[in-house]
Amino acid sequence: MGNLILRGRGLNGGIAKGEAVVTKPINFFGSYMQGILRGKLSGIEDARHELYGKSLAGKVLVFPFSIGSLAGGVSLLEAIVRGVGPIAIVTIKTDGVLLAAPVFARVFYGIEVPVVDGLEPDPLKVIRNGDFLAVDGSKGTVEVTPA
Amino acid sequence: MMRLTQKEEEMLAGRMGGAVKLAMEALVQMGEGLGVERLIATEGSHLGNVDLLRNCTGYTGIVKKFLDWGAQVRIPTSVNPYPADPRNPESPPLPEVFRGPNPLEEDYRKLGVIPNWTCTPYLYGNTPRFGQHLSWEESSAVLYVNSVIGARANREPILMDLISAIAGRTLYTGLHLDENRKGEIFCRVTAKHLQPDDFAVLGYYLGKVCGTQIPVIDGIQEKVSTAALHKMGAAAASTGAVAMFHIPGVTPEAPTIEQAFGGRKPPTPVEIDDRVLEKIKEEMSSQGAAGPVDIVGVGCPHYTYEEVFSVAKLLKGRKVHPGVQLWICTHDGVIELARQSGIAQAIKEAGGRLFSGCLYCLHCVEPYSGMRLMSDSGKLCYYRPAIYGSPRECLEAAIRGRV
Repeated sequence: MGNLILRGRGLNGGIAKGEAVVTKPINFFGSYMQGILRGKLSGIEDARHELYGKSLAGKVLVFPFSIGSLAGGVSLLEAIVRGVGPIAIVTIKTDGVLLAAPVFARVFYGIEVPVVDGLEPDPLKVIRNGDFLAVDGSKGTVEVTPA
Repeated sequence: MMRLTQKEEEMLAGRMGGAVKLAMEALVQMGEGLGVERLIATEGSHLGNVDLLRNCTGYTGIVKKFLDWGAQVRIPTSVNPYPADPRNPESPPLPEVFRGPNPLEEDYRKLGVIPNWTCTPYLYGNTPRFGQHLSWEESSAVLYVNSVIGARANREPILMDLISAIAGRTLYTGLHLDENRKGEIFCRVTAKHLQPDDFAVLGYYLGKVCGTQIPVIDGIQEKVSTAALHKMGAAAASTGAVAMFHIPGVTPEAPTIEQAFGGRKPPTPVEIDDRVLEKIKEEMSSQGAAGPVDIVGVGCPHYTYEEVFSVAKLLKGRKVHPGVQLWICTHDGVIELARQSGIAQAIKEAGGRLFSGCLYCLHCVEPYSGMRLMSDSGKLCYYRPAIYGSPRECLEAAIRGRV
């Protein structure tokens, strides 16, 4: 049995492999602002989110889209630069707030966080928490090894 | 692939220096990722929240890299407020996280940023005109310049505002294009008791009902003030992602309802009556509608001179309750005028604090985040537990010490 391969659009290049965290929309500003202000950013601090208290470090984030403040991108960039952000992003709908973080991480810090959207089949239906994913941000593919 | 002009190709190749090259690389990759075909030359930028970014090493590192390349902003670029002004004795004590110098303030000066420190830059220091393409952060300001001035700006994420200021370009998409500036949802205000004071309530509801759509708002009989419009906008940009509105006969791209909809037949209107507004007022008061208050905070967005003047008038001959702090936030321009006209002194004598700062930043963090706050700001009432009141109700509460 081969692994499932999802094909879509690569928005930010690079290759990353890791465990999937599948979740609902995230407000990155709300999640990270208090940690940034304290100078001790680690996990998601949005008490209304199911990932409250958890970290995305080393994980592949699989989620529909980002919500909330226009400071969301700079907050996610901070998590990436400090090594507590996701190593790749698999999403349904990408806006400027979400895309700014990986693009600025690449252009200004040389950190590659591949981003893929528009995937078939729907990643939110076929990827489960803990699946092992290989994301190729240039080809726009995600290879899924079920947990 | 994006189509670039010859000039833009040269910018990307580094012919205008390393800073512009870096900014263009990020812009082009953002454009390609988002499926945008080309860039548009911009005539102004406005940068997002200053002190909330002070510990963002990712952000401050980018600013430093630009300065290392000798970067200067290429277009008029202004900046959002700091939390409070320690040089002004009227300022409330700074929360611990905001104490000490913020290196961004000096870095922005080196970049050539207009030091106006306001969320209403369109009134002080960075005033756009009709039709100008801009790259602005600060959702309430974006909504105002699109709607009331007829300039063209998207809700630009922080980071995009900065690189656009350095490249003098942004992505040619969204509200930069004629066809995306037409009304998408029809709202009719039938409330009989809509006061100029209550436009924040109207805005709070508009954001919820419109989401990302552009409303055409009919039935506003008032000769609406600048203050009413920016209060409404700040609320709508918080509860929703509204980036533009039309008010037929008031805003410049809406001479009539039909024109606001781009010649299309208006859809069935969403009725906004007194009952709707009353319910929204309750929702905005998530800390309850009665009881003592710790802080009464007005001026989010920054109060205009007229608003500060009316505060001074209401406070005349009265005293703020000793258990309450009355904060009136604005920018240095209004502070200077208030000092010259004497109303700053009158507010001080009544026990109010008039200062240049950001209610939103102050109230995000300890110790203020835990206090009982009353405000006339739809934005604040959305982002933290508060009690909503019209400006008059807020000042009455500040004097009585309770709602």
